[in-house]
Amino acid sequence: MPNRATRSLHLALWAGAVVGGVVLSLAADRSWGNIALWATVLALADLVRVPSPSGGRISLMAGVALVALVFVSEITALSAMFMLGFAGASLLAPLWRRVRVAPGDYMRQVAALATLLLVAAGYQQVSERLDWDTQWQHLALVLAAGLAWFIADASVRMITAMGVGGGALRFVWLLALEDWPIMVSLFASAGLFALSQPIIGWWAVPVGVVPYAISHVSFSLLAGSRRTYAQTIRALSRLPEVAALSPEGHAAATSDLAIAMARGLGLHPDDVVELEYAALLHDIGRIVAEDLEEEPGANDVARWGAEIIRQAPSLVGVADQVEIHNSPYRRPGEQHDPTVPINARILRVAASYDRLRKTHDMLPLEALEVLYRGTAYDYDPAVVRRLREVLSAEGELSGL
Amino acid sequence: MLVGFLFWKTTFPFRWEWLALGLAFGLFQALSVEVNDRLRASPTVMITLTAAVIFGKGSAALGAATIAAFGAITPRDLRERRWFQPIANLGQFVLSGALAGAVIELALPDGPFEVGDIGRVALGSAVGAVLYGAANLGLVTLAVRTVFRRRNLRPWARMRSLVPSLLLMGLLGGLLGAAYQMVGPATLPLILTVFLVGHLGFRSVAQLREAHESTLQGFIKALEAKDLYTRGHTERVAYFSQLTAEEMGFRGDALDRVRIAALIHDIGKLAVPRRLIRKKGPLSESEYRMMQEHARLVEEILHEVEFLAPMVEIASGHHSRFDGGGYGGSGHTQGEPPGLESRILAVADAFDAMTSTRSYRLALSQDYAIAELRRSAGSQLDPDVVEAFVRALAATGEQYGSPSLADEKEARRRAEEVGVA
Repeated sequence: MPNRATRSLHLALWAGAVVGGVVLSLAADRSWGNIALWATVLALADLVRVPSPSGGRISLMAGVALVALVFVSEITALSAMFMLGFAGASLLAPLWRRVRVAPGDYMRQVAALATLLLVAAGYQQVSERLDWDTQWQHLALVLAAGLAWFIADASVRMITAMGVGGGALRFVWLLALEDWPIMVSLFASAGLFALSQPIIGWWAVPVGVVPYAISHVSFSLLAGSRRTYAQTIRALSRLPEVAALSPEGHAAATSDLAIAMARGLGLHPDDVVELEYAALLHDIGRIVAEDLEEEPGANDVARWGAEIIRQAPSLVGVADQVEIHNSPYRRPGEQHDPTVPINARILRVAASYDRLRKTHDMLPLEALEVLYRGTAYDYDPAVVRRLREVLSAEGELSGL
Repeated sequence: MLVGFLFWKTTFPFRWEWLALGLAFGLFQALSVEVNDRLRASPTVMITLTAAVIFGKGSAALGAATIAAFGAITPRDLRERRWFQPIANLGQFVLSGALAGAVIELALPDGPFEVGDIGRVALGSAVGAVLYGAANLGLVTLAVRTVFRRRNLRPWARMRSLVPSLLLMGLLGGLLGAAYQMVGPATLPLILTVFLVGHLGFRSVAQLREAHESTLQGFIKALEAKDLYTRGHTERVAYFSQLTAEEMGFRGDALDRVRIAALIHDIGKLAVPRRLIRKKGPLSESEYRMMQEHARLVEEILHEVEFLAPMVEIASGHHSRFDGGGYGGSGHTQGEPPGLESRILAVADAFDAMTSTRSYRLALSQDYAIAELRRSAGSQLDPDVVEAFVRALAATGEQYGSPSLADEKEARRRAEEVGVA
């Protein structure tokens, strides 16, 4: 139960936020009603979440918090609002069925709000000395807050990922960076609202909300299209299995293993996606084998498969990996063969391991031993070591 | 003359905003993908309108028309050395921009902006956007007609689907311009950022959708290429289905659904042992059942792809008969005709089967195939769909099949003579 510690931490944070929020709102110069209103809006904004490119979901809470930053200059009141808003959001989000709350979400919210408070405090120190026009000062505040939030959020994700084995730090950091379009559009829209509301009144609502809504729609569509694309590749990868040319579940198992290894090795998220597709499709060439009675050669399958995959212009990189994945990772007298990239080496190890398990009925350790014996030329020892780590993290090697 | 009239007594707005907006216009034009006109039109029309409001009374039309010059030439034109397109683009953007700017000109207040002016400006901008879109579409159609001599374009049918998004873009463009006028230049970076991010999102969506379809298409093409007798079959069936569906009034997403369903209709065959598909003689009872499986295999293979669910249903019904017989997927009930899309697919599939060479006979002539379709109308095929297909095919003027073979038996005999298999 990894959730137990998280849950008690969350409970402590929640209790602290309620107590702190109440105490600070007593101390603040603002009216109770005003603070409660902002807190409610913050909590409600947390219910609107947009799927992000990195896989998680980002709520509008930070955007509303940014508007509060521009409107409320008093730090005590601002802290009270943020604390009560966080407490309210933690109560509301689980009630609303359409919102899926991920375990790390609370930490990310706390980090976001705390960072924004820090920026607000820093801004107060600087703004008295700056002699800019109000609009430029506010623009600077918006930009600083956005940047700080972005960095804080990515850092928190790295820290939480360390505990749950979500991959190497480099991978998590690069993954977090993929979310920039959503954060940027959230902050630009919030900034537009905050800058124009005092001057144009409630016309600022469409000015701030409509652009964000358009981005929101585009991000939702994007997430849907990505899912569709991945599902289609996964479905096509089952062709050899449906035709009984490949063991059932081989493509999916190979791709799961390859992804886990690639994350641990700190590959770029884009490369991990490419590897996922290559692993799913590495056996597709079997479907066009001329002679159905005889097992086709591994290199032929790879070559035929690459020919098929290359028909899709967006999958040329995947085709290259499938084509080369059966080549030895080094030649006699050389340390490495530079033409065989790390992705292809991972793919070979993952595919061979799963095939040994499925067609030769081997136990995990037996299959692993076969791979270890092939590390002179066929299997990259660093990758095989990583496979061992992935398997033992999944509990596959325990009890032996 | 129109342009000259519009620019009479106007001042040229050469300020930094002009440069920034012009560069943004150029950037969006360069980033746009030619996948879907609805997506392509949106960002530039919004920038044009925002620019017109920002430039203000007296220079709205000229300003809006001149920033369009930045978008006329794209890196792709330079790479491919296309000169006609940039010139046509320039004329088209300048004219549409001037038109939209002139409308804004009427809506703009004489003095400084007041809160009360915002609604009028936004409304004027929405009208301007629709005019911009109409002018743009009209000019493109005119250019394509005169240059490529294509007459079968129906631009106004497309316009109707564009109007809602144009209205929204226009309203937003006007609002943002008004916000700039009242708040100040600090809003401009934010406005441009908002445009850029939204546009990048839609662009990725369009690219992914294109990648999705080309992946399906490429895979199926490559897989069937191994089999001499089905080569190109899927592509032709998709084309015939699209022709028929268009003739029957399918547009937009509904049309895409039919085309994609046609692309995947035979995917199950890829998983049926190939010796069956290639078999020369008649199939045995058990072999026939295995062959029937392929309509169901489509479902088994693609059931996890949510997006394809409606297409899978269409595709799995393509062997169901109009009178309710035949075989099909889980959606098929004996005695009920399949959905309209499945019936379209059935006609396209039957026509291509007759007009292409198979392992057991040569291709038949087009006239024979059409007569055969008409004979099956009412029993196996839907008579309305058959007639729509015949009309659509006649409109293209294309010919399929061998020119003279008009007898099934003769075709089989000749196939054995030459030994095609």
